Amino acid sequence: MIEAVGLGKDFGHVVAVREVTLTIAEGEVMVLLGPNGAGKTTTVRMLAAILRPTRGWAVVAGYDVAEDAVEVRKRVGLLTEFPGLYERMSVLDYLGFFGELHGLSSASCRARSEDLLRRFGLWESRRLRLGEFSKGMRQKVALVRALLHDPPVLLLDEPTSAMDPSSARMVRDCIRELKAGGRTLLVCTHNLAEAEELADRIAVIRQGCIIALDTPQGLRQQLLGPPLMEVRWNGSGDNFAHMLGGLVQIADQGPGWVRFLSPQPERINPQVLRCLTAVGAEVVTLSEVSRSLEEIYLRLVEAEEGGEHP
Amino acid sequence: MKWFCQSLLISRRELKDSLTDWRIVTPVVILTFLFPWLVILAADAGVDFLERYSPGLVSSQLVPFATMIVGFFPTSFSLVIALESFVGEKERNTLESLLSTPLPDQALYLGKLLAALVLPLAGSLAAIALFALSLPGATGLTVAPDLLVQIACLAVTLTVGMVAGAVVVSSNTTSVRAANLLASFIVIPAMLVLTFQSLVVAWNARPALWFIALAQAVADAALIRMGIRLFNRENLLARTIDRIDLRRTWRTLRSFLWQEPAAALSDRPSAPLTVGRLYFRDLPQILRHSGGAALVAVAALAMGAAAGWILAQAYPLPSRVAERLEWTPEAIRQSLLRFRESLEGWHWAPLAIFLQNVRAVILSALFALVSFGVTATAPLLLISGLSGFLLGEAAGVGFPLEPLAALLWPHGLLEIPAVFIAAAVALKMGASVLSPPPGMTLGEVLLLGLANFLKAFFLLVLPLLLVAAFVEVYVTPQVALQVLGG
Repeated sequence: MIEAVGLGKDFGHVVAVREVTLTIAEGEVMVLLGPNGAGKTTTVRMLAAILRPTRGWAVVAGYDVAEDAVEVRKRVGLLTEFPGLYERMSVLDYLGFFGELHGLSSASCRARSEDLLRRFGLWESRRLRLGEFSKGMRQKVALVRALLHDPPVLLLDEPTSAMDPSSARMVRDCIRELKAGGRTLLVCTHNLAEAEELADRIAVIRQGCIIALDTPQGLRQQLLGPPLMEVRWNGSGDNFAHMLGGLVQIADQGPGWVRFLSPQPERINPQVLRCLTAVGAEVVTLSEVSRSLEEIYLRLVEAEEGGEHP
Repeated sequence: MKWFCQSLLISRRELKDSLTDWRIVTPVVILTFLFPWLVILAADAGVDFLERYSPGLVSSQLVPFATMIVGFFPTSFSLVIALESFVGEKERNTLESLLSTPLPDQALYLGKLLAALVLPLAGSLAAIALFALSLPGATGLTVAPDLLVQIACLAVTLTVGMVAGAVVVSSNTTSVRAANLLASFIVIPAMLVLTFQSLVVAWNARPALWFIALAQAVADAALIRMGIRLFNRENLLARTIDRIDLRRTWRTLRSFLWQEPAAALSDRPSAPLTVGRLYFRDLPQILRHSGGAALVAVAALAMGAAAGWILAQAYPLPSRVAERLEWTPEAIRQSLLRFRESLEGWHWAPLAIFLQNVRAVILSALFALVSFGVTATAPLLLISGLSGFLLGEAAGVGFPLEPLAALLWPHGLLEIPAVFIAAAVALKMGASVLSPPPGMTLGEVLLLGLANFLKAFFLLVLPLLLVAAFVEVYVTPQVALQVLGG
């Protein structure tokens, strides 16, 4: 649904995006992570056919962003970095205006607006002027605007910024539903927990280049090594740890627990359990130690800053 | 037509936004309806005074002038709507969502332009109507209906031009503050145009007002076309800080000077820079590229000569002056001999003529940059106009044309082509902003035009003018003497 190859953008002598190559399939959510100024917004603007690429090409929903910009814009819902609403308009007028620009009939626009406004808890405020809305409400209206024409591709720049936790949850649920409905989504965010929760794949962009692109699990494996497991048993049982040392690579240990690297959990973990049970250990838990996306992200970005390859 | 309907969507929203904002509506309404009354009161107070010294002056000149001012005033204060049409949206962060819709550039631009036009146009016409209707009751004076129609046409075309210019400014600046500062470049020329219109009324040359309205309409069309061609949604989002980058400007100009003109407009590689390339590739390309402008220059040449001739017929030399002039070939021959003797001690004469011509060409080219190329034809008009006038006057008093032609043509054969080429290339340079090639910014278009002009100027115009100056001093008088039998 989205395919970009060698996509780049220069503004005069400033290189905003050096080279972005990525493919996002139908029904996939890709999260684009990167520090400020990395080129996320410019990439999104090129994919939304607002900016013409300086080099490379991109096809979105079957249309070239440079050659068929209008067709691309018909099929893309863009949530911009800033909500940017016309403050003197009411929500319904505002959505009606954008609905007309997207060629919706007033009846279908009205029905779609009502549906989305109810969903995001804004229906009761439909007659208020947008200038009276809070930051979070404005962000929700901007999201409704992006969804209004039911586009097959959604490009969402910071979709939950300025939202309270329950609104953010509402938006994340919506993103999951859109994905289930076969929509293709590219989400830019600085919220790493949200990225981990939503992403099928994560792309990390830095200085205008994609420096890593994989599933969250794949990135972990790639950057942090094999999964880290922790086993706990009753009592101190120091000798158990010693015994396990012959079976797996111990990462850390303490009284009644051991952390070990498990490159093939489905094969190694049962062996560990059998071994512990055989020597009479009362195993309480065996679980994976969660390693956050933040750790991966920082490692990637710091490696790039240090000039290393991750 | 679909995109026109889409543009109306934009206009409707913008108008609704403006008309529901009391901070915009209140001053527009108050000033539009108050100002005509202020002018009426001022006129009423001045009528007695002026009638005492110059009866008829009030009705013939003061009233038309006041009507023009009344029509101009609402446009000047409503211009702020046009000035912030694009850049205001950019500052409020609403532009990107608008640009992400499937709206063609022309629709977006035209929608903004129409919305920005409504208030100034309505204000201007309402103020003129109010003034014309209230004036008889308040002062006993009236505005003639035909004059009123003329003034309304002038006001409409001037308003459209000012708003179109303001929208161009708005779509090419980075802040409302910068747009407001640049508004001076719209308001001041508009006031000069208004002054010129008033002078035309003062000269009682009212039919000329139709030509002025027509010229303004042509300028409006040019400005609107330029705005649409220059409108670039990408630049609107990309430009965050305008900087004067002289180094970059120089680099761009140098690259245009170094490469072939055709290569600058396409991806085609340029041949290496050599003198041969400049003369046999660059110059022909520049001249071909300026073909349309050359036709305009030819028209200017013909119009200048015709206007000069017609003026000579309309204003012939008074007979008492003609009688006192010595028109005999012998008298002219003696004058030429004296002229030649006077030059014998002054070797700088060719240089003085050369510098004078160069100055005229450079000044007209510089002004061409800011006048869509119009002023580039000024030297041509002047030369051909003077020639036509002189020939016309000479023919009128029965002076033989051969010696006069001999005084003009030897150096004219070099000078006129030089000025003609300079005018065509400068005209092309100034007019290129009206339809810049795709992908080029306004600055790049002007720099490419400047590079082409500099090539034509140094490679062709300058050498021709230099030779022409020497011919004018040392050859032309000899040829004329030969013709006169010396």
